[in-house]
Amino acid sequence: MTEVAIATRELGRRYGRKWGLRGCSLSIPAGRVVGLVGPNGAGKSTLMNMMVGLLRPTEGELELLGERVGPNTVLDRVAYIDQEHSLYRTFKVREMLKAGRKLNTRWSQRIAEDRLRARGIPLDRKVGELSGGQRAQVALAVALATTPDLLILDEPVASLDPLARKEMMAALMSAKAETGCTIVLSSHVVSELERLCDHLVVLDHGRLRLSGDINELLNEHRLLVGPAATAAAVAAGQDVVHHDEGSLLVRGVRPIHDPQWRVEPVDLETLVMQYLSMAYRPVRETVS
Amino acid sequence: MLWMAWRQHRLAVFSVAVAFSGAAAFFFLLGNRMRAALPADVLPNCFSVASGPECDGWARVVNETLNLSVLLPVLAIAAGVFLGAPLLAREMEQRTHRYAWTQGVSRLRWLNTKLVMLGATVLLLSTAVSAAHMWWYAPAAKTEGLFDAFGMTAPVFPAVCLFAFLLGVFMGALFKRVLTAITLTTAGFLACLVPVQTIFRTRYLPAVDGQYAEARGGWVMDFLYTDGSGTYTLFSALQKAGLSGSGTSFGSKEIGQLKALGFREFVSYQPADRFWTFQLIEAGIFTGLAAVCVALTFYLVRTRLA
Repeated sequence: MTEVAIATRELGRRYGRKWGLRGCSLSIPAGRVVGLVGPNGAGKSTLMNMMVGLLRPTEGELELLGERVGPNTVLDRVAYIDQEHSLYRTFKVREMLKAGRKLNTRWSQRIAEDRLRARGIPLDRKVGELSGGQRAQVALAVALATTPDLLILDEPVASLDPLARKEMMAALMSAKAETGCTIVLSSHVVSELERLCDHLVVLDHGRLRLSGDINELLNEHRLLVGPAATAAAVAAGQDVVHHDEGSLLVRGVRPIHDPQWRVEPVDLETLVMQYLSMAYRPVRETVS
Repeated sequence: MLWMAWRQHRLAVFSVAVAFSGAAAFFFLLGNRMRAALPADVLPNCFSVASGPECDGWARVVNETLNLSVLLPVLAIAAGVFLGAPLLAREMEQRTHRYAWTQGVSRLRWLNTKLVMLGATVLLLSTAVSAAHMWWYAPAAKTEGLFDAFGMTAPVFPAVCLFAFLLGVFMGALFKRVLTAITLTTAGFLACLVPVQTIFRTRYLPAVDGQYAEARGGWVMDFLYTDGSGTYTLFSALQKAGLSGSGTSFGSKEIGQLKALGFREFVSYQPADRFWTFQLIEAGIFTGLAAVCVALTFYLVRTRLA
């Protein structure tokens, strides 16, 4: 039986009168690399903050690795890196490692030191003197040294330059290969996640739009391309996700009898864009 | 966790320790030098307003030191501003609480450790200052009474410092900005301290009326005059007697005239033996305020802050 890494039920968080996230029900099996995508303000950070206990849910339930997450729960098996890779800037890298050792019951000094040595980051340098990319690597090393079963990263590369971005993604991929832990990372750029992730969660305006295994999603969805004049007739026989000019995104394509229409595979970016531009409809989730 | 608290606050702890130790050393050395310079039977007189030439300038030193002691709550403010205010506000401002509170230590334990460690430091340092001040002032305890040194005596002074520290922590939790927390800690601390010192402290117990000689060693609050029909302050007694001469200053001449007219002088005072009761009451007030700050801080950290 595979463990469920993340399970939410009707999870919601309200800020004043506005909902940052609402009615989010998810189930993600362990061992996945989950890409959380959506435009700014979609509710990605809200969801992640609730996962790591930095934000209280207004309603609903949230379980990580089978444990209910409350405001004061200690998540020994979960590591989190926020958007700014927040670390103590006045600490030396070595002291940051010591902090990690003191603040966690699970800690592997070797994992942290090996990673930092491999990237040429000196332990005697102050965190505040490191480049953004190096700081991200330190944050990752400190997180991985706690040997997490679930690693949560909020926009891990958003603040980095292109080279550091590439290095961070590579570091994440190697972390995935070495540890096999579940990774959740958010981004508003789909292409960044495409190579790393095998599970996709699309959020928009505080609502869950799509969640599922990426390969299954790509297999299920097809883009139908043909003349606009007959689009309505073609759409009638299909499960249409989104109706764009000259194309229909459908789920589970059925035979088309109009020879003017072609069936095309859909790429991930198009799929996400189509889901983001559609009007809100109830959640669809594939069985993983 | 202890290591974290020390590593993060060592600079502030060091600065505050320097300030407190400086004050403690000053009173300790002054006490030693006065004991060395003056014979034991002369020494108590030099703490009195009516000191003679045998004090050799020490009376002036005593007077100035007691006047400057009014400024010693600055030490408490230092504890609030350097140790208290940044404790949570700096984490929020630099967003490092997002690191600290997602590790394997619950945020309530994290807060608890820091409060205990830094609070104990504040108590230790302020008790040292109090002890040194009490050592310096001890020779005058019998003759002058302790009320002149009320604010610097333990347990009041340590309780005041602890309150200032915890008020700083609470302000930091409330406003999440170091500068705002520092400003409001200072303002809030004075808003509590000044009324307590000037209004409440005189009224912990109802004052006693009596002759000046009986009030020796106690805290004289008012010289009052009575002609049998009513009680007057010096000024209103002079008016009643039609003696309002210069209007601004009165001396023993006017008081003598009043007595000649049948006015009797008495004092309203707090007896000397109430000193420790008053200490406990005032220390209780500040400890209570400190406890409220702790409770509110824990509430904010547990439910509001993210």
